[in-house]
Amino acid sequence: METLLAEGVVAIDTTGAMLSKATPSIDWLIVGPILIPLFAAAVLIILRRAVAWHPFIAIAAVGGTIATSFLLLLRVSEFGPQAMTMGNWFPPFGITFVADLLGVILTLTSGIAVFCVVLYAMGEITGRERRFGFYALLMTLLVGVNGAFLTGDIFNLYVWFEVFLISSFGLIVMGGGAKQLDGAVKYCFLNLIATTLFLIATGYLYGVYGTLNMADLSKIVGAKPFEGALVIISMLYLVAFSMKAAAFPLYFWLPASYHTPKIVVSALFAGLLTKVGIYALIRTFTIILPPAGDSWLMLLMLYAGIATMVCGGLGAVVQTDLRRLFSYILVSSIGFMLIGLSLGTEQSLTATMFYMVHSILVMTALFLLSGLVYNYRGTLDLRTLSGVNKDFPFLSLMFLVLVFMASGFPPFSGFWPKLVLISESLDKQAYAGTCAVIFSSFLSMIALGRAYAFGFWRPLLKTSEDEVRQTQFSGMKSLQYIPVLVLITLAIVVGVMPSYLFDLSASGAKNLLNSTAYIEAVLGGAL
Amino acid sequence: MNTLILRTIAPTLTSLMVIYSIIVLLSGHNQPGGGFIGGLIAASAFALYGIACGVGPVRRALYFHPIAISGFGMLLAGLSGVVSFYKDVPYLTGLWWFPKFSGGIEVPLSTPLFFDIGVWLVVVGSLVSIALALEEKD
Repeated sequence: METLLAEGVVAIDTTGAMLSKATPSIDWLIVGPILIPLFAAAVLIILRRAVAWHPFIAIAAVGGTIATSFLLLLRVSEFGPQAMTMGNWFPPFGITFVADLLGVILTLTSGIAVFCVVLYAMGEITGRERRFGFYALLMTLLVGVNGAFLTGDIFNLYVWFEVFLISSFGLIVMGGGAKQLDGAVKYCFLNLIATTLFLIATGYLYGVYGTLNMADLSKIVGAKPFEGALVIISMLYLVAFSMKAAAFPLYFWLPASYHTPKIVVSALFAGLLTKVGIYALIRTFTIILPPAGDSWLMLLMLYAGIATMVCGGLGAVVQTDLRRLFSYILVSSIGFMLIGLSLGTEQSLTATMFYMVHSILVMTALFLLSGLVYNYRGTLDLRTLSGVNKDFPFLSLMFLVLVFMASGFPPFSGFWPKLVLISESLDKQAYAGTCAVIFSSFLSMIALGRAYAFGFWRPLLKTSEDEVRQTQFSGMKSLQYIPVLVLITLAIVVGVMPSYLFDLSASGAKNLLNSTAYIEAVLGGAL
Repeated sequence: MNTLILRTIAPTLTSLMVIYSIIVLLSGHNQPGGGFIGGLIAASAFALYGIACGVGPVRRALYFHPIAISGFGMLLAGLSGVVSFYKDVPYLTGLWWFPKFSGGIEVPLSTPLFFDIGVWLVVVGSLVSIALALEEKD
């Protein structure tokens, strides 16, 4: 150390402030899913005029992200949570990144969803939009989402929220019409309020407990009773994250804004962004503030979840726009995850994690598929959309499979978590939750079945024939089937062989309820 | 603002401000200053030049597109942390070198310095592109 110090600089003893253990190279996997898309975003910004290269840079980067996430998943499932503290500082002071099963499973799944979106976007995004920075914004969105999933510091979580929020603002206004701006204003306004509440709660949390490191907080707050400042902080976090996740009664912004942007953008948002809100709720009320996890707050969350499920289902039934209908289905699935979290048992958290993976895959696929329908028919209005089944039977079949998945038919992936959650809510005597899950699955089935019957099954309406002829696309669009097909195949694999994901989710849930391994991974090297 | 006085003084003032911003940037590690503040000073220098002499000369003087500059800054800041990979320490750990030149001159170089230069470039690039877009409109 002395040899490195310049003359006149007082040597400071850093043994208590810095980690002395060498970091093995394999630990770099933890930051890989963040760094790879970050560098790709920087390169895409530099090469903003070389639009022909953009999709390939993005595909390579997302591929690399998926690969590192997968290796990280293998490592975490074998050795438990992994942590790396930036700048080698002592953990509560340095920003820690922690990879535990919940975070890594979501990182991997969202990587796959973004990959499919990038593939789909190749045929969709024009040169002008590429120069505007579509792919760079997509990459920074992925950086933000992965950063949120992997960070171990709650203020850093706020920063990642900002990163993907700003990217999403950029993406949602792309297209620039009056409709896009209308949707964007609602989206931005509600999200800014939620982020501000998040920041206020974090400031309060720091003022009361003096630390922002999640593992450290878990240790300090874990022993405290649920009263006083803790109630207010928990309440603020609940409101802020529920707003992000689009839970009752703060879900109105989602169906109001998700049907306006470009199809790829809304598919990306539907797949990823609400899940980050749910992820933050799970993280906050299991690891960070465990006392809140056994309180009346969870009862509140249970009823919010029930209301979200029912409202989402009812909303879906009355929609005539296909994308608005899907948005309500998405809202209803958020309710499911809230119920799972609020029950707070190992089984219910397992079901929630499983359902998150299912929801990312199926929602992205549904929205991308609506893009395919739009390309062929030029409309997504169920009053005029018709005859898809006769002209494009394969597309219609894919939609039918997705309908079964989203409404939870066995043997598809939506069925298993619903089964587990229903049995768990019966055990916990939360009968209202059981009823809500069954009732809203029923409503989803009606809504999606109705969409199938009107839009796909019904013979082509006479009135829409002229419109169809005008909007026939001459370009080669069949390549865009591939990403949808990939997502459906993955969801089928998950549904037919649920035991892999179930085992992973179960041990992830175990780690969430018993934070010892998490704390050990973060603070173990320092203590 | 097409006054003779401003047009005459602006190039000198701009170059002085850019030099000062670099001084602020380099002194940032141990004294007040750093990439963000330095970047703000440099960006206001270019904005002033734009007000006095028009947007075209600023774009020509910068040579690269401002957005590309900020992208390069992001890359540089990110890469400065990757150096720690070869030293078996976590990402973004501060590492120092003291290369000696003839005449006993020792230049302290560090990864935080390159991170700061990256921040400087990001701030300059993004703020100049905003300022130029605003100045172009009128």
